[in-house]
Amino acid sequence: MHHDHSARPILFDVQHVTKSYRMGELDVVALNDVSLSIRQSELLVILGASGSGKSTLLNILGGLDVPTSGTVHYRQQDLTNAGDAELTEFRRRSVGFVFQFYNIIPSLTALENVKLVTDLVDAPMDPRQALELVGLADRMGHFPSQMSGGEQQRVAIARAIAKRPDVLLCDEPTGALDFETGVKVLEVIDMVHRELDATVALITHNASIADMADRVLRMRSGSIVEEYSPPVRKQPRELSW
Amino acid sequence: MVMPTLTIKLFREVRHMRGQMIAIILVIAAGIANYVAFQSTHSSLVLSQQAYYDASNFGDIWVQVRRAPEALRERIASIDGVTSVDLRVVASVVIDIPGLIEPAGGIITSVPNDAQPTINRLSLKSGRWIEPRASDEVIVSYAFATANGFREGDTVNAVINGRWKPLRIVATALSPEWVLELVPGSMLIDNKRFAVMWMGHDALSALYDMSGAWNSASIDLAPGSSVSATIDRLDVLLRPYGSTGAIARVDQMSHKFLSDEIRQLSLTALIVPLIFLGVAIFLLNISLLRFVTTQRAYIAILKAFGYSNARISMHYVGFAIVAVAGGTVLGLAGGVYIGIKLVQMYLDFYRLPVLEFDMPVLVVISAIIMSLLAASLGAIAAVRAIVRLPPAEAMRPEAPRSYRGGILERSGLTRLFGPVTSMIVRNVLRRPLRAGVSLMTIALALSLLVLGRYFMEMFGTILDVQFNSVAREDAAVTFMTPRSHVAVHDLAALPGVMAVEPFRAIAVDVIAGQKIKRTAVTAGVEMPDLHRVTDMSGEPQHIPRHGVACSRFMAEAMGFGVGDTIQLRQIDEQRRTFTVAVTAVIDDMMGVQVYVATGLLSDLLHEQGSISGAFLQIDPARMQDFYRAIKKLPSMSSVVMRERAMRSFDESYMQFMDISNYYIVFFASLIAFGVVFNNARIALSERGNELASLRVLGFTAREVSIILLGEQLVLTLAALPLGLLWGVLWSMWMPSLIATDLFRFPFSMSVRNLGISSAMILAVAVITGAFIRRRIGRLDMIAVLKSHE
Repeated sequence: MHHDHSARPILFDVQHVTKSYRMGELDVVALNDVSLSIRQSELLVILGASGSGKSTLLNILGGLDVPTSGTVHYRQQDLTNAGDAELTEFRRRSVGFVFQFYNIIPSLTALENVKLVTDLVDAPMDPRQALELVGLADRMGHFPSQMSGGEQQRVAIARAIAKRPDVLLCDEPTGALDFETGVKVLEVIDMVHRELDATVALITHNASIADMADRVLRMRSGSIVEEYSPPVRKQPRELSW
Repeated sequence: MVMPTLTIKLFREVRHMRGQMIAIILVIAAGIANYVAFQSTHSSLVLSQQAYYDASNFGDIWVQVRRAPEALRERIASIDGVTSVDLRVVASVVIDIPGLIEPAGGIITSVPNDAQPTINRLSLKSGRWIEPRASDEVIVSYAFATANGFREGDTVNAVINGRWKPLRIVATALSPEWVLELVPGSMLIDNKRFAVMWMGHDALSALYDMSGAWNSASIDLAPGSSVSATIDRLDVLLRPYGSTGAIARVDQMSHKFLSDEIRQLSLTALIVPLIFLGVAIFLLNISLLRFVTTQRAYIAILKAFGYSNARISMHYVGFAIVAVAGGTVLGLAGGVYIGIKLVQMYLDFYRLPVLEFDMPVLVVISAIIMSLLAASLGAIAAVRAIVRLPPAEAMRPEAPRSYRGGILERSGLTRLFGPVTSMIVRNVLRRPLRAGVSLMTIALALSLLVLGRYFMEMFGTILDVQFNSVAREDAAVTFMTPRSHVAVHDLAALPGVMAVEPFRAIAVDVIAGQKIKRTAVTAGVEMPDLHRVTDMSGEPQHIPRHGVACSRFMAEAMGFGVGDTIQLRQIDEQRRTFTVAVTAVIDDMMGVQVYVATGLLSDLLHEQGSISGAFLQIDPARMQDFYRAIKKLPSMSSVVMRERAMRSFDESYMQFMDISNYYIVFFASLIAFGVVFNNARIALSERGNELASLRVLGFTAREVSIILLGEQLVLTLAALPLGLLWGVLWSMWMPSLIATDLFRFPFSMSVRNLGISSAMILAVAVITGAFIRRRIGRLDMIAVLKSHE
């Protein structure tokens, strides 16, 4: 059951993007002349070892960071030279983030963490509905410290989808989770992808996860070294690592 | 309305960091309370003084003569600007207080037989006005009555015109002329042994053979008329009647004291609390800056969600608002409470019948705005630093700081230290800005403690200088009129008298250029042993044989110095003027004076050794005999005993000053606690990860505590010299601000002050350390490893 997305409109157009950082006393090149495009409604997995530049790429796609050189377009919008206010607006309207370390605010309950985001937009999902969608209907009043890692990550996903973003960006969403919990989280992401017709870009170092993608990019040392579509797109349940 | 989720976050996190919040709130509250209390006290005193003067029609000019006829009333009243004149008889009396061996004195002023005077009206606290025809009825001052437990119907025996006469008390009263009941010719308040009394005009005139005559006038001027022009006219008019020169309200003793107090208070009420508030504000700014920095990752997430920089900044300003709101509520409540206490204390000292407690709204608003502004600036500065980072970068932990081999490594000292000590020293040295700021806040807190204790100790120094270096005599006697030198032998012949040091004092106007100052020229014996002229440190000063020595305060105020000449104009019938050279200035403590050698004064006055009074040394064993003898000498206008002068000085000034100074020390301690606690607490949240990692590696809680608390201790110890230096500088600056011509405040810094202040800061640091140590024991290692916030 392979979806053909080649006819869909291009959502992200990335051309010759380079990104370097100053870390302490060192200059680190995180991305080196990267070009790619992401089409609407596809589930893209970016594979790579730690330090391959995949997180940097995701951050640039999400408007959390800007490239040192090259261009990034989201639909017709040029993100390359966008100012802080424009990027803020872009993130608010279009992007949902899921991070490896959940990054949910410890002083807020599950429901409040979701509300924190729905406060921001005009026509959000009901926060309760978002939590029900990720299977946390009975955990809404719990604080992060009262939830397991998988549950916290599902709160993060609910938080990301509650504002009905066009694109869901997931940075190692299973990185801190055990296998069983990881699969559950991937099922939620897959479900969101299908039911909300959201574009999903998911980065991971776990090659097995690539099997659930429409398309896979493999990165090494800041460059894309391989691109392929898995012959058979698997369900998260069918994955193993 | 539903509360925005960010607001929920705000309140929940405020509750979570309540320890730190409380510390910040206490510091702001201390700043505001102190500011509000002292400013309100100042404002209340100003208003109460004004209200009292208005209600009692306080006089504008006073003049004393030897004896003048009633008929002069018309002439005085016809002087331009004079609206009313009260002519009175004023007499010094010796009184006998039951149960008191030593002599007591008093002043009786006449009042109209059947009504209040038009000027300087009395406020009766109890009793009734004098019966018009009664010859023995008196109204006594409320302070005197209270000090001795007198009530209406009691009698006081007084020597009037050489005869004992019982006086019956019919009322107690307050007078605007005696807001402070200073014993004339001294700066002592002695309500037990100094009586202020009022008697019907006819009765008092009869006792003093002053029928149809007067010796004291109080005058009211129309608003806007010239005081000095009127004084000149009065002096010319009254010179033939033995006028000692009219004085304006500004020179009236009670008024002068109260006004000086108010002026000093206006400065101390502004400067000391501003220093406090400044420190509080600085601390608040730093605390929020550092708190926000610990929220780096959350700020990045909020940004990732699409929260704008402005919204995020407002969220953190919210913490500032909570802190300032808490501090303001607590500070205002505390400030009003302390303000009322201080005002009441002032009113025990200064007898004002009207109490108008006033808390100026502007003061309150300015304190709030200053605090809020500082807090917000601190929060915004921190938020700005973080939002300037791309959120992706802010979400990562900060890159490791640059640790390069420094002096420490090159010197090889690290080999001596263990890794723990090296970590402590490196942490301090490698973040010099942060370490510097912590150090500075601790130093500021310490400097406030030093300043507070300086104020407390200063009054001890004054007492010591005044009674152990200057006034070492057992008794000081003053004659009503100058006596010939023979009087020295009469005094020496009194029972118990072991030594006599005569002095001569005359009232003069000191004239330097356009400036005129009414004061006294005094001449003592050549080598004084009992009563000496000293500087503020108690060092005896030499009075030059030629020329005159002047109080430095007067010389500086009037713009002359050593080598200049000044004029001295005698205040008597002749009004002779002498030109003299200033050959020394003296840093004396009380009053402003001109000191001359005895010989020179005799030469100027063309008199042979006249004396105004003398200082006596008395055999302690024969003190009672001395008292009995002196009570029989009506020619003495006052006798001041050292013992009771010291006691009265201690009771009135010291205890009074102590209380306000305790407040200052209390607030300084509070601020010190807030500063040290906050520093340590923030260090704990900033370094929580690092410390938990060390715990995971196998460090014990104790070892980890040593790293964190060791750093705090190093900073605290390093802050001591700076804090002490600042404290000393504040304390040196303060006396110059509050100096008046009645009183200058010595600068002295005791090792005790520096020691106690340092010990207090260290104690606060240790208590805080114990508290933080408990927190370290509860560090959640797993949570820290799982998340990278």
